[in-house]
Amino acid sequence: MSRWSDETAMPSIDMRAADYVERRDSGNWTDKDEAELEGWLAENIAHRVSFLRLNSSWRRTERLAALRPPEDEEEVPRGPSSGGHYLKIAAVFGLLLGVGGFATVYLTTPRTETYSTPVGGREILTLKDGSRIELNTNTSVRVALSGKERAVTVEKGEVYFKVHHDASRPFVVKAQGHRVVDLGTEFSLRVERHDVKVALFDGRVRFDPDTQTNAKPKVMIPGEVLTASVDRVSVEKEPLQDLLASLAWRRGMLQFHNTTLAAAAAEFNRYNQTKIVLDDPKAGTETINGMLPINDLAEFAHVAKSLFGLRAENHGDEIVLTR
Amino acid sequence: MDRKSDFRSAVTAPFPGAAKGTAVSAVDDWFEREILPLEASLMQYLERNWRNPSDIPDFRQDIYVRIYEAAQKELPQHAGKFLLTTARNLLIDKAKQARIVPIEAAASLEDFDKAADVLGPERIAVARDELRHLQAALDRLPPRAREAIILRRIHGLTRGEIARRMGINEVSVSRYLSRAICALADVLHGEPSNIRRRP
Repeated sequence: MSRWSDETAMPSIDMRAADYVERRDSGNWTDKDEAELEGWLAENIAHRVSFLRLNSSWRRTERLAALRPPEDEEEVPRGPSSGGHYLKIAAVFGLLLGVGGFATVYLTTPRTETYSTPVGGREILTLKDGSRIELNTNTSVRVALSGKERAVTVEKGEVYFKVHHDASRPFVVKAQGHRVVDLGTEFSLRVERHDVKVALFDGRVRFDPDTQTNAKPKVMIPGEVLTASVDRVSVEKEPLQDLLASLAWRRGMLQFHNTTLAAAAAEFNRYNQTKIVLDDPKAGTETINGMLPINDLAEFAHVAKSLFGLRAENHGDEIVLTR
Repeated sequence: MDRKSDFRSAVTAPFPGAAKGTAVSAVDDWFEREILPLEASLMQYLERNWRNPSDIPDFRQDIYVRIYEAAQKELPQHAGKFLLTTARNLLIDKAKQARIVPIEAAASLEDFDKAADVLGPERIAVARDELRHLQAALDRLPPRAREAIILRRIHGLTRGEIARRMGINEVSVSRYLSRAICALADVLHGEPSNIRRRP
């Protein structure tokens, strides 16, 4: 677009906001810089909207890294100072710039595409028909769209679906040989080892179990949670409120309701590279209620300390909670 | 870059000031979640209804300011409709100021309704399209700006390192980076071409 070929055409507010966005994401951003930025943002709403807009797309250039097909990783040249973090970005840009002729292959491959999120990642895919696919932490899906069918295979992790129903083009979710067929609906599906758990929030789905289970297809109604293991299928009814609480991850939160500390720690560990280790078996059975930001390990440690008197020891990639 | 602090800023305090008052952070969140994804539709609308393309980036900015100001008082129920109404009012104001008879803007009520209907599905983005888009955006950048942003985003170099490598001063580096960031924002938020992609 020609808009950017002429330097003067770009409003200087954007230039200044872009400068803040970039510097704020670099290593040497100080409290003083933050204070200066806050002052600038407070000055004028035009400053704020410009900053929000540029910051959002700047983050998206990074988030693209999470969507690269995992199998491409090894093909990517390392930049001079790249850690794992930048390696992923390099993967994306490497593709962009056609390194090794990859981009061509990958953009012309018909219609099946893999999306994955790293530990702690979250990604929303919106299809043109308005359907939403939200990937939770450490999740990988393959999406195959054709004129006849919209198929999503969940290889691992947890996914929330809000499907725009189209009888002529069914939406089918596959996991571990089982199939969930949308009949106009909102549901989530989680793969944990060989188990598949489907929670239905609205509408209807039909669950077609893997043939090995010898179970019959089951039409689910809202509030039901279905668990399919290798050889059996069971359905439980849960209060809708509890079900919705289980979707707090979509807002970047974890919600606990009479959850044991051990289970809560396990939940946190799904999202964070730094793992919580409970070094006190008795405390593990204590229960907590409430909501915490998904990545706020410090807050979790603080809760454990103030409620149960546990001490947090930081061992680099582990936080050990102990008496 | 420290991975943990990165997550933290993404989840608990996405923007400066956000952590301080829930009001600010709620409006920021709403703006980012509901309004920015509609930018492609907004740009299409503006381009269809205004003759001079060089005015449009400023209009977009004015519209966002009006939206944000209104949202501070109360978050609008229907972001899409609200955005388009705001856009329409702005075009009418601009047309009056320019003493143009706002034929196109005024006659386009139907367009609005149509646009409001299609906003849902236009929230695009099987994100793969973004790659194609980013590539196009990078291609269009002036070579020096492209080089600077690649060194920054791919190789993770600091401004000082980029300056040394490119043999220019840091002020120039920051200008190149800022231009690249603005251009990428235009593509990621604004360009509707991926909606029309033929399978």
